Amino acid sequence: MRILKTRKIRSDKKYLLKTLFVLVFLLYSLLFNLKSAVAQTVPLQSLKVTPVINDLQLTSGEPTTFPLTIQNLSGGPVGIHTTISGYDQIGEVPIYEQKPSGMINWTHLSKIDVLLPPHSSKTITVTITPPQHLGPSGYYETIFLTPIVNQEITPGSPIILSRLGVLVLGTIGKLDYNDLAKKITISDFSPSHTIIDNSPKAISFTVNNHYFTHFDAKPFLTITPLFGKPQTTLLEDKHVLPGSARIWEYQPTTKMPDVFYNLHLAVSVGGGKQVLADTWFVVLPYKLILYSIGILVILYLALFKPRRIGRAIKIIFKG
Amino acid sequence: MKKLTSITIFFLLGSLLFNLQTIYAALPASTNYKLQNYTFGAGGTASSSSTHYSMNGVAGEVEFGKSSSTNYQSQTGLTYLIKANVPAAPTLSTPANNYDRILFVINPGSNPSDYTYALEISTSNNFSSNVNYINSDGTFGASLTPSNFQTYTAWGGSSGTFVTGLTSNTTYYIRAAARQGSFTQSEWGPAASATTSYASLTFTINNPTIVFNNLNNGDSYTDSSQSDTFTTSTNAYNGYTIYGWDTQALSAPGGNTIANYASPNSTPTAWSGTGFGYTTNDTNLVGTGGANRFNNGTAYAGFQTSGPGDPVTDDAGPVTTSQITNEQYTVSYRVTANNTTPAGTYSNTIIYTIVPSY
Repeated sequence: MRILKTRKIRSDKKYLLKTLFVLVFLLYSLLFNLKSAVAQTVPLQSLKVTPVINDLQLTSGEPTTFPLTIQNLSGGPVGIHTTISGYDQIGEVPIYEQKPSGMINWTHLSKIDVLLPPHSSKTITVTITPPQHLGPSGYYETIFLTPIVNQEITPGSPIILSRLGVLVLGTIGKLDYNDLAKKITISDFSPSHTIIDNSPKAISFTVNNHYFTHFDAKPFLTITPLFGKPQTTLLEDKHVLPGSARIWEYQPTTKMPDVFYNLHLAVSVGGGKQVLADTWFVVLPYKLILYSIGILVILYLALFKPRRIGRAIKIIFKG
Repeated sequence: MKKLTSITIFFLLGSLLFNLQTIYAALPASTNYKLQNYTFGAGGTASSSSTHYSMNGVAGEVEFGKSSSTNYQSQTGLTYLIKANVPAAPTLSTPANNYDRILFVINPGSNPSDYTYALEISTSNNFSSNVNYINSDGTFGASLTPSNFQTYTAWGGSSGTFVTGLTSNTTYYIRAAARQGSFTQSEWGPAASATTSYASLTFTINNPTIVFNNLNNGDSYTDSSQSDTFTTSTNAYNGYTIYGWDTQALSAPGGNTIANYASPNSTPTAWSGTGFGYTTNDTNLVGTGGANRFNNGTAYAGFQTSGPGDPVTDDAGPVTTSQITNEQYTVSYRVTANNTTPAGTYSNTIIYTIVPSY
């Protein structure tokens, strides 16, 4: 009897183990298939790219290299395809797509396509070899990293792709800050030599770059009222590409109760060199003054010349 | 009696003038200040001071003496006494993991507030090569001029100042010297170092596919429940911009389409009619039409069907003291069809391009 009972317990255990194994297998298969399905369609997109801004000093005929590290932060694998386009900036509008640039042909990527397992990183070596005998010049491009998606098995709903742009700025030739400062101009510095009704909501100016390469413009704006201390503000610096212009718009945070203001702008271009511009404006609430004068005239006439007012009203309404 | 008095007064005046001239000629003086009296002993140092001024005199010693080892230095003589105190190492940091700038705070030590400081910067820890001097505007140049000297306050006080135009992933060493007037410049103090980072960008889209509900009479052929959240981290000084566009209008296999919503990115509108559109909760968006033109996610625009597309979210920086970390913006989608829209599965590809602003 005891032997029979023991055998029964053993067979129950075996049955339980078998069931458990089958269940675990089914669950694992299900999970594996789900993972594969997601990987085959649209990959999870969470990428970190370093460095994304590359300001390089290039030499004619000599290669310059830098590593580009792409890190997949997601739990799924992702394939990355690289493409290169020129880069330019028209005013405040950057142009990243389909822009020709000589540097595209000189740029060699060690890999065009990269497969990144979950939570992994890979490095592409970027080599730029400009041709020989190039004069001082600036070249700009964007390396785009785009996830690879199998278009044939995309689901029947909108799919989302993220592209990351890596900026490459190349300069051939050495910067001469004295020469650079001569090739930078400031325009549209406003309000300029004018009388305005209210304090200006914004003070704006444009920095134009006529040099052969880009530079970092760092503006210091000094506002000096007729009576009061001058106040200097360091505005954010912006890079200005050659043949391009950047606009600054500064909104004063403090009240401007004075009448006359002098504006002094010093744009630092590097190497301690600055490009200067000055202007002035007068804050005169002339509308308020005109209204006040008008009201005073009407009051004067109403109080001291009531007959004239009466006649005027008669003429207006009766002719 | 009268004659004697006149002669006496004349004599006294002459003596006084003579004595004054002698005193004036004998005592050290400048345009504004004159030493009234000082004496020297047989050697060593004599000093006297008031609230605002102090005077030191040395006799019987060399004017300047200096001896040093690798780690220590001692100086003697009058020249040493009039020099400013050697400033301690400045405090350096890259608070936003900065890649092209370093924040420095001068350590004035015991120097008075009207003393001025110059800063030397190099990529060499012993300043043997690539040596430059920080200019008052935060840039740097190869020559040290009087304009490189500024007070502690002018260098930003305890908040410090950024030196800009640096190379990424590079260690820089910075040290300071102090002075107050001519011939008083101290030795260069000990250096501090900081390393610039690389410019980096992290971008995550939470929802790689959007699946709209079945559009039917029950939901007025409308679904506006789908969205994508973008999470971005970067130390790029001028931040980043995300541009969006789609490859085509929503299209079904038979060739039927649901057009992109008609309003452009520059003038989004409250929804009316049919189409496929988007809105963003970025209330400070770059581009024409006003920063809050999407009215905090209630006005809609349609995608362009070619790149680079239109800005959908951005952060213009400037990134100085803290980097942009896990910043989230949501782009929400809406599709509205009508009862004449043919049944089918509609799809397209939406591409978001993120680029660091430069």
